[in-house]
Amino acid sequence: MKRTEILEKLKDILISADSKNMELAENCTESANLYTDFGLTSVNMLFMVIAIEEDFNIRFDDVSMDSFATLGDVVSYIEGKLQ
Amino acid sequence: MKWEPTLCKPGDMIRIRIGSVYHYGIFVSDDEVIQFGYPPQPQFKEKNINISVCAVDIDTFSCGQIVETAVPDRKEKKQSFPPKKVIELARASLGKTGYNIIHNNCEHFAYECVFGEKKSTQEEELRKKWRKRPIFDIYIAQIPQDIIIDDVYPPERAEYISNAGLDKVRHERYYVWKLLEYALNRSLSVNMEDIKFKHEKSGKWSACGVNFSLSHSGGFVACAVSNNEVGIDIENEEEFLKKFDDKKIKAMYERCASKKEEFPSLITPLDFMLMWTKKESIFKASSLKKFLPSKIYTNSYKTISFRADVDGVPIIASACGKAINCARIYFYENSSAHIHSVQML
Repeated sequence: MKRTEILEKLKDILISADSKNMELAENCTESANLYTDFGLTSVNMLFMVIAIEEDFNIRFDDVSMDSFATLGDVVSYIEGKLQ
Repeated sequence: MKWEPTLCKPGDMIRIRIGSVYHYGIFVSDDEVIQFGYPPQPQFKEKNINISVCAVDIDTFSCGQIVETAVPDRKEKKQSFPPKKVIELARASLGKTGYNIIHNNCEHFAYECVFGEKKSTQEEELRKKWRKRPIFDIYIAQIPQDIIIDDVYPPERAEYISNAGLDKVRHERYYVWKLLEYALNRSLSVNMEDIKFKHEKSGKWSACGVNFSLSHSGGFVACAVSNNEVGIDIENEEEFLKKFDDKKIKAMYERCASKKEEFPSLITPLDFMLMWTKKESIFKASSLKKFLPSKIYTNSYKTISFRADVDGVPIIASACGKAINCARIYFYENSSAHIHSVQML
């Protein structure tokens, strides 16, 4: 899967986690910050990670949530797991 | 398992609620509660950097919240270890690391001490919530100028495409199917070739276990996919207005426009077009066999309508279905789709 496709799917997940993210997701890039831009809390971070596991069929077993600051960080992690 | 704010006994699994999540631990005494990591509170941010199993007093554990105690049912009671063993297991884990918010968190730890296996009801509930979330995704695309028609699955659709008398219709039938293939994969994680399609007598295409709706008009195609009933209709404004040359449609518009009480918002041909797209989308979502516009009431289903300009060409679309409140609208081009803002009507 291409990096851009991963990013688009990730945006879908962020919108599903909170529909308020719709406008932001439309124009954001990989540099968007999960906490300061998307206002992710520990609960919707948990929801997002579970959604990623379900949608990409991967397992977040070797990483702490603090490892991710931007959308690009998450995309890189997923990309690595899919290889 | 029930949770009650009762007095804790040694070996009990206990929890506190912080926002919408719970923090779990094993109660030994008021001075000793064993937990995997500190509660997710700002004052413990430093302590939660390198998370390990640790012992704290009940006040530190509770953070001033009500402490709830697990009350296992008869079957769970049989499966659980005696309190002495629970405490032994919890104490033997002190200092252990390997925390993972999804697969090895405070609930997994407490559950393992009591039942001998890791489990997190919070994780299970969130997974269930994700799998059951309402989906309603709408994909819009403009048919490329240089379109080449390849073979498609299933053969019935391929035949339907090749049976179209006009190139324009053939292109629309083909491209909307390719859009459906993309939408099924992206929104529902379903491969088209795993689906058994049916071309119904009403003209609708359907599939077992998958909800979708297709529409095409004047060089544009639209596809909506959902995990519930779904209907969509798209119209190229310019092309639709040309239909007013059709006597039947013009007569229908004039008939509706004259009934001001029944159609108060119907003033211009564009209003009529909007109403038309709503009725078409309702027909597609419903089990009706024949499209009879006068028999379809636009308030019988929840619908959304929107307008967008695609390369200067105005389009109007309406969609309906139970999950319409969750609708996401994508524009598709070059084998990829992205969220697109539209003017809601």
